[in-house]
Amino acid sequence: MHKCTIPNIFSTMKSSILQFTPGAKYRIEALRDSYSYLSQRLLSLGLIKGAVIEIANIAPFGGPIEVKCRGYNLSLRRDELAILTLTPFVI
Amino acid sequence: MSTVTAVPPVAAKARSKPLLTALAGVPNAGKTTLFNALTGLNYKVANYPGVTVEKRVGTCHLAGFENIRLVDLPGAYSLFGGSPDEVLAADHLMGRLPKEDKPDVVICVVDACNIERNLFLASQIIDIGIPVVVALNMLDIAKTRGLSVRKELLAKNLGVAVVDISGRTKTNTDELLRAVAKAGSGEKRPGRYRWCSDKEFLDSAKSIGRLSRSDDTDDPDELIGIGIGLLSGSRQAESAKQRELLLAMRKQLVEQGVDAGAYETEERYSWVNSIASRSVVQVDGTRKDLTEKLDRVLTHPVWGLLIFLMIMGTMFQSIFTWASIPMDFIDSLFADVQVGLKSIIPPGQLQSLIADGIVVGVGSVLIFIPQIAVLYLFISVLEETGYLSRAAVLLDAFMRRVGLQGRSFIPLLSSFACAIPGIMATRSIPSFSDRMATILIAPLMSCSARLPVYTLLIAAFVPRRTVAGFLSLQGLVFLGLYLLGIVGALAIAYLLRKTVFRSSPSHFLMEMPPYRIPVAGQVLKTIWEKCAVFVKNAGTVILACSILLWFLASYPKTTDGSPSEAVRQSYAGQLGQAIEPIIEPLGYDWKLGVSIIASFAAREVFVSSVALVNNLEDVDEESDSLIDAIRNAKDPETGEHSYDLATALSLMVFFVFACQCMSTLAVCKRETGGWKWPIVMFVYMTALAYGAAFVTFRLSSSLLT
Repeated sequence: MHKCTIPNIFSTMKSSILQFTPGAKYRIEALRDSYSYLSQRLLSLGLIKGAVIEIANIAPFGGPIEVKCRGYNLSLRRDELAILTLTPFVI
Repeated sequence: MSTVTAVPPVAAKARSKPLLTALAGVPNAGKTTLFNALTGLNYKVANYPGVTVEKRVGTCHLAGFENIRLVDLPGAYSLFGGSPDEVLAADHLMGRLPKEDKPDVVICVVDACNIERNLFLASQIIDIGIPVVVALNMLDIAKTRGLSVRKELLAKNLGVAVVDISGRTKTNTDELLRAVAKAGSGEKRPGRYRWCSDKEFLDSAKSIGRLSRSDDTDDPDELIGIGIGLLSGSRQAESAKQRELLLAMRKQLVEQGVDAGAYETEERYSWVNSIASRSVVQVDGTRKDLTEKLDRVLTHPVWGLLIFLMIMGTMFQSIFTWASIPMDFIDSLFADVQVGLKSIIPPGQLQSLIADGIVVGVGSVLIFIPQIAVLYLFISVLEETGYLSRAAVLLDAFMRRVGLQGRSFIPLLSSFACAIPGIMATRSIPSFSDRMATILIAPLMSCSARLPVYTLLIAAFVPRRTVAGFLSLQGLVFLGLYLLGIVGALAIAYLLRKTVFRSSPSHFLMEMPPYRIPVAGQVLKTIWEKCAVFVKNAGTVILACSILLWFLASYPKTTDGSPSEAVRQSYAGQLGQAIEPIIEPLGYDWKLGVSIIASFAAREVFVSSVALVNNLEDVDEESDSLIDAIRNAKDPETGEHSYDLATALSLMVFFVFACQCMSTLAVCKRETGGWKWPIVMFVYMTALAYGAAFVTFRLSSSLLT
C-alpha cells in the first residue's frame, strides 16, 4: 500500500504526521481560514467540523487523495486536504 | 402560446403566460438528462452574456404542459459557493440577472444516492421563497445500493412537493410537471429557514443584508440570504457601516465558540442530516461497491497508467483510421461537386467564386467533422462511464508540475484533432489560471489539419531509410513533430505558471462519480452538439477566410500567362513577395509565403496552395506529381533547387508552433471574453515558430551539407 504524509506547517494538530492508508477514517476537527474560497468549497461539499472521512484511494506519484464522505467520493490534492485538521476516528 | 382543449385540468388553469421553470441541482445530479427528457429537441444552448457558462432554454414537449418554459441552470454545490457557475445559478434564481426573469418555479433535482449534499442545496433554494418541487432522481441506483427512501417523510420535513422521477428512463415526468404547474399556480410562500432555530441570527443577517445597496430588494428571505453570504465571506461588505456590523456579528458568534465562516453550512448540514437519516434508510448494506474495486486497478501506479495509455492509444488510432473513411468520402464528394459545378455554370468570375471559393471553403469545414465526431464519441463515453475523472486524478501529479492540472488533459487531447473543441472543453476547468494556460497551449498540439502538411513534406524530402535496423526515418520525423509540439506546450505552460500566473491559485478538488454504463442517446446528443458548435464557430470563420483567399489569389485578373504567373501577379502573390524578405532567413521563397498566408484559413489549405503556385491541379498530399514538383522546383534565376531537406524541416517546425488558424483565435476570443488572450496567443506562437524555424533551418543547413 502507498503511504504518504501531508506537510502541514500551520497545523497545531497531528495531521501533519498522519500516515494515510486506504480504509483509514478521520474526524474533521476544524477547517483553517473558513472564509477562503477553498474552505467554503469544502464546507458546501459537506466537509464540516465533526464529519468523518474515509481515505478511499491514494493516487500514485504524489497525486490527489480520494476521500469518502457522506456517501460520495471526492479527490483532493494533498495541500487542499491539509486545510482540514484531522484526528483518527475510532468507533 | 395558445391553450389546447385537450389539456389536463391542472395545466388548463395555468396562465397563458409561460410558466418559467428553472432546473437546479448539484453537478451530476442528472439535471441535463431530465431537461432533455422534458424538452425533447425543443431547446437551444446559449451562453450567459459575457461569460462562457452554458444555459439551456427550452419548451416542454410533453402533451398538456407546453406552456412550461424550462431553463437548465449551471450546476451548483451551494448558492454561496463563489464559482462562476454558482454565482450565475444563484443570481438567476434570485432574479438578479439583468436580462433574465426570476423563475416562477424551481425544480430541484436531487440525487437519491447523495441525499445529504443534494438536500443541502435544495434547502438553500427553498429558503429563497420561490415555489420548489423536489425531483428525486436515481432512485433505481439507490435501490441497488440498498437504500430505501421515504418520500412522504421527506416532503413533510422539507415543506415542498417531492416527486420521484427518472431522467434516464423518463419515468414519472408527467407527475413532476403536474406538481410544477400546481406549485406555479399557488401563492408565493415565505422562505423557511427551517434549519435555523436562532431567530436572533436571522434578524441580524437580515439587518446586515439590508445595507447592501447593490441588490434592490425588500424581500426578507433574500435579505437574510445576502447577510449569510456576507458572513461566510462569499460577498464583500459595501460600506463601512455594514463592515462594522458584520465584524460585530462574527465576533459575537466566535465568542459563542462558533466558526462564523462555517456557521450556516454547519447548521444547515446538521438539519439536513437529521432529515436524511430519517427519510433515507439503509435496508441492505451488504453489497460491495464495484466502483472501489475498479478504482484500485484504474488508479494503480502501474496498471492504471498502462490502461490509460492503452485507452488513449486506441482513441488516437481511431480518430485517424475510422475518420479517414468518411473524410476521403467528403474529400472526393466536394471534388466531384466542384467539377460538376464547373460544367453547369458558365466559366467566369461567378463560376470561380462558387466552385473555387465557396465549395472549397465548405469542404474544408466539413472535412473535420468525422474526426470531431469520433473524438467526442470517445470523450463522451469515457465521461459518462466516469473514467475521465480518474484519468484527471492519475495525471494531476504530472500536469501540476508544469503548471497545469489533471483537468487540462482532455482539452489538450482534443486539440490533437482540432484546437477548437479543445479550447471549448477547457470550460470544465474552474481555476482561472489553469484554464488560461490550457487555452494558450492547446494550439501547440499537432492538430489534424497539420497532418497533410507533414505528410507532403516528409514524403518529398525525408529519405525512405531505416534507422537502427527497423525504425523508419520518415516515421521518426513524424513522431518527432508531435513530440516537439507537446514539449513546447509543456514548456510554455511552465513559463506561464512561473510568470503571468505566478500568484493565481490552482485548485483541483474533484468529485469522483461512481462508474456507470453510458446511455447511447446522451452520447449521440453530445456528438451532435459538439459538431454543430464546431460548424457554427469555426465553420463561419473558415468559410469566410476561404472566400477571402480565393479573392486574393484570383485578382487582379491577368489576361495571359500560365496559372502560376497569374498567381504571382495576384494580391496573394504580391503579399507572398512582400513577406519574402522576412521568411527568407527561414529558407522559404515567395511561393511558400503565399501558401503560408493561405494556410491561415485552415492549415491543410497549404497543400492545395502549393499545388496551385506550382501549376498543378487535382492533386493531394500523396500525389507523386505534387511531391515531384516541390522536390524539383528550381529557382528561375540561379537554376538551383528551391527547397531541400533543411527547408522542409524548417517549414514543418514552423507549422508545429505557428498559430495559423483564424478560427482558433476567434474561439479563443469568445471563450476568454476579449482580444487580450488571442493576441497573446498569436504573438507568442508566431515568435516561437519563427525562432524555432530559423534555428532549425540554420542548424540543418550546416549539418546536412
